[in-house]
Amino acid sequence: MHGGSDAHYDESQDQKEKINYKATFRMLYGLMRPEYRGFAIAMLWLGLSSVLNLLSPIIAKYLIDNAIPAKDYQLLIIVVAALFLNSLLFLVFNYFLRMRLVRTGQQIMTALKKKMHAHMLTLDLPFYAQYSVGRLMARVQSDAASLYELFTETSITIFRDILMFFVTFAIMAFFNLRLTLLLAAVLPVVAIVCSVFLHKSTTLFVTVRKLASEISGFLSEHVSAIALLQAYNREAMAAAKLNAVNKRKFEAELSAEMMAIIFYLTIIMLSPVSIAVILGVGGGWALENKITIGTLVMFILYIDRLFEPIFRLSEHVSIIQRSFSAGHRIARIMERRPAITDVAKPRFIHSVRESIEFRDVWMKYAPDDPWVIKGVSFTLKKGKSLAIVGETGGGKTTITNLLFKFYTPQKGRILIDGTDLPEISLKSLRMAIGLVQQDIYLFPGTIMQNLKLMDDAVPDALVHDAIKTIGLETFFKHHSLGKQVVEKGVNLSAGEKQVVSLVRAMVLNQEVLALDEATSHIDPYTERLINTAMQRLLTRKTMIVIAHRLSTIKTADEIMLISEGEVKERGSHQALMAQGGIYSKFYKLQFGEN
Amino acid sequence: MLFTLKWLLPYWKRHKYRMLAIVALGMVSAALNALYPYIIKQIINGLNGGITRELLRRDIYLILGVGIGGAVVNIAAQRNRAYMNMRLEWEMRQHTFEHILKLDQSFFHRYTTGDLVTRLVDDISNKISWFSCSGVFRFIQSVFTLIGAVLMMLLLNRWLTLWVLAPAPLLLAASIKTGRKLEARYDALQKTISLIYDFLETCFTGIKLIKANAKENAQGVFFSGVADAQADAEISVARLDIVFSYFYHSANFISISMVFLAGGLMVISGKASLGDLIAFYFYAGMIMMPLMDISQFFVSGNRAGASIKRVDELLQAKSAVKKPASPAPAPARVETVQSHGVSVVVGKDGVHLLKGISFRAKSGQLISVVGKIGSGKSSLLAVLTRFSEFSAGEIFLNGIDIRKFTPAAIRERIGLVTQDPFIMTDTVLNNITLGRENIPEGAVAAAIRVSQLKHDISKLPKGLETFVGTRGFALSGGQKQRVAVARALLTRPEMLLLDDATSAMDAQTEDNFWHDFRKELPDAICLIVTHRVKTIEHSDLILTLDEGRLAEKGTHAELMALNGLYKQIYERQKLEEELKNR
Repeated sequence: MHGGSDAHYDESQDQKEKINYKATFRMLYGLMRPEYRGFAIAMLWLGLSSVLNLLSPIIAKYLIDNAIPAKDYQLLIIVVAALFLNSLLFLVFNYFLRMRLVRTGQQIMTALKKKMHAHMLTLDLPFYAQYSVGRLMARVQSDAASLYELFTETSITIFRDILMFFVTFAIMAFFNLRLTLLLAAVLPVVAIVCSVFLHKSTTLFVTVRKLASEISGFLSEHVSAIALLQAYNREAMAAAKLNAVNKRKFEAELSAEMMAIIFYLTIIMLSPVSIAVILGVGGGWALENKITIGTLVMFILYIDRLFEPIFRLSEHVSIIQRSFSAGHRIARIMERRPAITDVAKPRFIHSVRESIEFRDVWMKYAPDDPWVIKGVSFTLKKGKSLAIVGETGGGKTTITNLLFKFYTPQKGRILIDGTDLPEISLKSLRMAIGLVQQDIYLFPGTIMQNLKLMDDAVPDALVHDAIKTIGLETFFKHHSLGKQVVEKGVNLSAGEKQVVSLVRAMVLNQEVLALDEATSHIDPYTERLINTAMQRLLTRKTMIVIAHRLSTIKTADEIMLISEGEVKERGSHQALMAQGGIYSKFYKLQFGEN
Repeated sequence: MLFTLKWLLPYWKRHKYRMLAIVALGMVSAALNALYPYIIKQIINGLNGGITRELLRRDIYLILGVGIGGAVVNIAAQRNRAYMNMRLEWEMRQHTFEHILKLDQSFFHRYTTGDLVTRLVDDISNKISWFSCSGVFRFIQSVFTLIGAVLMMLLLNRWLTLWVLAPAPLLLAASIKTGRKLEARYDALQKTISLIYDFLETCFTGIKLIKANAKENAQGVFFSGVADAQADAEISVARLDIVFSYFYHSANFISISMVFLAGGLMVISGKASLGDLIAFYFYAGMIMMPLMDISQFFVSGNRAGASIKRVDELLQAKSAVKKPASPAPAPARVETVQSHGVSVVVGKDGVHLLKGISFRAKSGQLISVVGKIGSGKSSLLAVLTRFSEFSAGEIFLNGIDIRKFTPAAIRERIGLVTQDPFIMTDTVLNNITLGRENIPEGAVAAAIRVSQLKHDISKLPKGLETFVGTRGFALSGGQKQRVAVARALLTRPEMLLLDDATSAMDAQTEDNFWHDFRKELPDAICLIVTHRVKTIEHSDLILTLDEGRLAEKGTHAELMALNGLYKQIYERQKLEEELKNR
């Protein structure tokens, strides 16, 4: 199950916000407008199917009043054939109508999803820090799906229901005005019952939905906390609490049900009451030959159709409400803009020709936060390698964040070939230098696709070359590149996953690479594989390595030890070992040399 | 299907009167429904053949009575079913949750929280609830309705009945075939949807990788592909879905045409009345819907059955922690803990989490457990708290086998703080008391004082009544830890187990904590996992674990002299602290 409980949780978090109906409506209208042709064709089918739908009681009346009394077998067969054909054509046209709506709705929804996804990808990292992955997925999938219902069933059905309601009355009035007026007397009753029901039930349904998400929230918290509850013997309390929420939900549902009973009962009873009126009053007239039996039957047939739309009313209202809150949430995301954008006339770079330089760079993530890095300076010449080591949270990753322009430093300059980073086009910068993370991100696709980061523009030959360069041909002899990755890689071994991310580095084909090593524990075999590959990478590329394992970076040209945002030691492995500082101690500890 | 019904039976039995009422209401509703067209027939025939006004009035009252009665009874049946759906949903969830609460750690390693919540919420609310009453009893009512309608038709006109029923088997067969195809298409659709979710999850979690390498466009292209695939699958489902819904609501037009044709001919030839014709029009509308309900019963039953199996799987799970048949009375106070060759083996391939651990601890002692990640430190605490069962060896409390006590009785004496303390979405006070009542006066204050929380609480806007946000969002990591420590101290435990629970305290705070703790609970046995060198040095006993084995055991001085694993860990730890504190 994907996001089921998450989505519930999500809804409760967003509900507090007031929906901006006007802006949301504008957005929804904007989505529908380009598809006006689809809606126009749907309208055509709607008109045709409605006419056919209204026709059949009239045919039935003709059958009863004319064909049967005339004892005309031929006429009877023709009329029944007409009735049959009429019903059949109605179903066919109705099918066309609904398929047209499905196609149009899918068109709109899919376009919206693509637009949202593309838009999200333009947004900065702070956006991703603010929204959980679950919520983002809910925006793209569930919210778009709520709108789909609005675009297909609801919008046009409401239109049809209203149209049919009045046209039916008009036809009945045409055949017998007095009886129609008598039946119309029930309309105010219907109107009052409907408005009261809608008014009461919407708040009740909101309560039910809120309680449903409260149960999800309660359960995900308390299931996670079961060890705690057991350790402190609080199981009974948790059970009692769940019972209380369960009970509240049950009671809310029950009162919503009560409302529904009153509503449905009123509407359902309208049918026998109307039929009694038709047969009672109309029957009296029929005895006086003021009205034909066929007309009475026709009225009965129409009455059943008349009340059908009212049943759908409450459903429509709840769909509209849901779509508007979904639309509102989507609009909120679509109006966001990335904080870091290119300057008016950015410089485009193709690769790093000389060097990357950090000059006294200071950075903190929020104004009230402490500095994450304090006055970091270094120069990385083309073809050389720099390894950054130090404790977790010491500021290593911030350096790559800054290099890729994910954030702007408060003080200091970052220069590529002497050009300030803000001057350089974001896209060209990120094309020129590559980032590889050894934390595993696997997409649903083949290993080959994953190595290309799903970019089909990358030729297969490049991947094969990369594998050869990095010295992993033997590995891939046993592990097919065509293998499908299932459920984020449950069918891959830890080694395979690590190798995928390393080969990615080579496939990226950039001259300059930043490599963020995995923090996770890996087995010795994989470590050996990675070490060989790393040595090869280091000799071929300009590299910045954020290292967690010191074994891989011994051959780096320069090693920089960062602690608490400051550069504490720097130099080659040999120099640092000779210096006998923190690095050397760490190194000795990691390898157990005394 | 049989399993599903058998599983539901005990739930129905608990509400047997309401369930019987639902069946009875279904029968009455079916009977009234079957009667209704008959009365219309009477009226129509009367109107055709000179009925008196009195008789007409009588028939009108009859039709009002039967019509309204039928509607009321039907709605009563329907609403009672809805009531039961909701009620059973509540009971199933409660029942399952209470069962889960009793299970041991290995169960929670097998199932993720997300999976469990999905089963407790989605499976029960969305998949089982409706079927548990409506699904089954609507089916029963449909059978009654069908029988009623067919009986009335046979009574009125045998030949016409044949005409009405003739298309039904064909339509039913076609609908079942369509339904099967539709099911397959739904499955295909579901696959495209999970593919999208899989993709989006990786795309959003790996956003940095994508942006840093300017692969946004490639991602967009791939997403377009999967989104289009979903749209195609949706359209192909809709195509069949529309056809399938026709079987429910619209397919009776064939029967109705038959009625008008055959009936019309019969009326002309005098073999039937016009009233018969109209009555059969209504009966024709009463055939397909119940038939579809009956055929769908098996489909929805299978679907609900799959969910029931998922829930039942949880209910069948047993805790591996053995509970004594006749538990020994808990000791007045825990004075010694003794572990003798304790091993924990998990999984089919028999991985040892712990291997032959032996040690002894007594009142007032501090025992430190050290070792690398995955060396079995947390497993040791889990065994002592009876979260997981040990497969070999013995543990004695005051010389009595720990398995002779109920887990609850032991936990009553233990205060446990886990590595990543769980903070409930509640107030600070409720997080410390965990909803306990009858707390002795001053106990909360003492717990707060010892856990070094006093100062923090005075700074919170509403003090102890401050709401901590979702899972302690408003608290810092250190505050969360100390709230968890206060929670453990509240009941004045005789055995305190801390799993790296002081890591966020600075050296001074930790000193104060130990000082205050020993003043408050001088006799408690402390068994702690820690990285703090000063705390380790002062321990009465140090247990050094390595891959589940007790590699080295002794005091700090003894172990340093061994010049082995302990020394290596200790020095690394010391270095890390130095690095941090500069």
